[in-house]
Amino acid sequence: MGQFEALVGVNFWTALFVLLNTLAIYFVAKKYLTDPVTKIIAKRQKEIEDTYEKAEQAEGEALAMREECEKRLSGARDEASAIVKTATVRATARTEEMMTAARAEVAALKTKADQEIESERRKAAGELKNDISELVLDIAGKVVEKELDASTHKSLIDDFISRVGDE
Amino acid sequence: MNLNVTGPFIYFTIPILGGIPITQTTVSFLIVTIFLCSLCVILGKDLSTRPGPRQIMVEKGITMMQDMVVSTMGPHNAHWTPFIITIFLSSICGSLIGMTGFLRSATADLSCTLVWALMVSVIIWYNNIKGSGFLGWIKGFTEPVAVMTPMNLISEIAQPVSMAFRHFGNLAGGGVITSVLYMALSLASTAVLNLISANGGLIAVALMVVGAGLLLLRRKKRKLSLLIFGYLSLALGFFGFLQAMGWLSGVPVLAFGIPAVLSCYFDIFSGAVQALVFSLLSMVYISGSCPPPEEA
Repeated sequence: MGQFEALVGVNFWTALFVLLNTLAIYFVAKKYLTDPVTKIIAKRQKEIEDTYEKAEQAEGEALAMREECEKRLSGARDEASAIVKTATVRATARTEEMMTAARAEVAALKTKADQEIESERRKAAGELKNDISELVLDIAGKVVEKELDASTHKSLIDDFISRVGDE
Repeated sequence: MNLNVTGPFIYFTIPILGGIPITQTTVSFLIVTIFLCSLCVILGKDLSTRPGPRQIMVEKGITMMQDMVVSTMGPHNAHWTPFIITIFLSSICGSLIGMTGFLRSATADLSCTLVWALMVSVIIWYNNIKGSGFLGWIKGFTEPVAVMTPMNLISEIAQPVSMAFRHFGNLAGGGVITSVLYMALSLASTAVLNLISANGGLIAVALMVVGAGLLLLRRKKRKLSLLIFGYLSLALGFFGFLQAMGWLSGVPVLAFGIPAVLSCYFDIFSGAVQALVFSLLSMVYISGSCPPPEEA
């Protein structure tokens, strides 16, 4: 049977041994457990914060982009309506112009036609006059049984016919 | 039967420096140290920012201890967490190692607990000296009046002594009570069995019959007392009969099972509570010497 220590008593060597072992546990726990765990928790915290920050930034960017898009869209709409308006105006003006031109042309045509008709009429009237004067000479010659001297009475007859034609 | 209440067994003595004894405490605490160090290294390995189940548990534990330290000592003392964890785990493992049966609780040795208490005291003194200078610390003993100096000195010494003895006393006392109980139970079992096995086992047989009768009765009236007394009588009768036949010489039958209940209290509960008390007191004392920065 070996020896026993007293129940209540302090053994210096045991105490020293316990002290060294406790210090060893302390340093091992600090170096390998609590420090890495604390570090990793802090790191994760930072990561989470970074992620949130990034998300917020991305949201802001997206909002800005949306605003810009809306702005551009409304600008495009304005532009389109302006284009339509100018086109309409131009088309109206062009229609008007064409109408005016057409009208002018029609009027010119009409004038020309009138003139032609007039000249035709004159020409016809002149021919008719000649025909009538010859006819009248023939008839009058037959009536008086004597050939009238055309050159003598021509002016007289013409004068008569022109008076008839003018009335 | 003699009951020898002794300290840790000395396995052998290294014959240098006037003899270094290797005791049960030394061996127990060496095992605790190796266990805790490897536990720390294993648990603190392969940490990542996306934790697995093991890391979540580890982080939970560390955070819990840190929260406890912060709530007791204030956020400026959070760096004491590893020390408190060390004290707590060493204490609880040093206490529970006694349950292996062949190793003695390291904390049931005054050498162990006194060292821890003195560590706390040294930390407190170091902080006080750092805070107010050596002379200021010495002067602190004479406050509020010079007459109080002996009282202050005694309270300063009493603090580690009380801490050490509280922890040591609970664990060693638990061990003493357990061994007393074992002895008492073996004495009682001898006495009871001798009584029962008198008359050539007649009483034993009678007890077995009574027990069997009680158990049969219980089939009609379901009462817990019938069950307990039935089995008790049956068991007593059975062991008395064995004793009367001479097959059971000197085996302390009553020492089976019954001490386990008390062991639950003295070893597990007491060990855990004392570890908690010791670390809480360490926290309170250390935080007393580390006032918050704005006050200092």
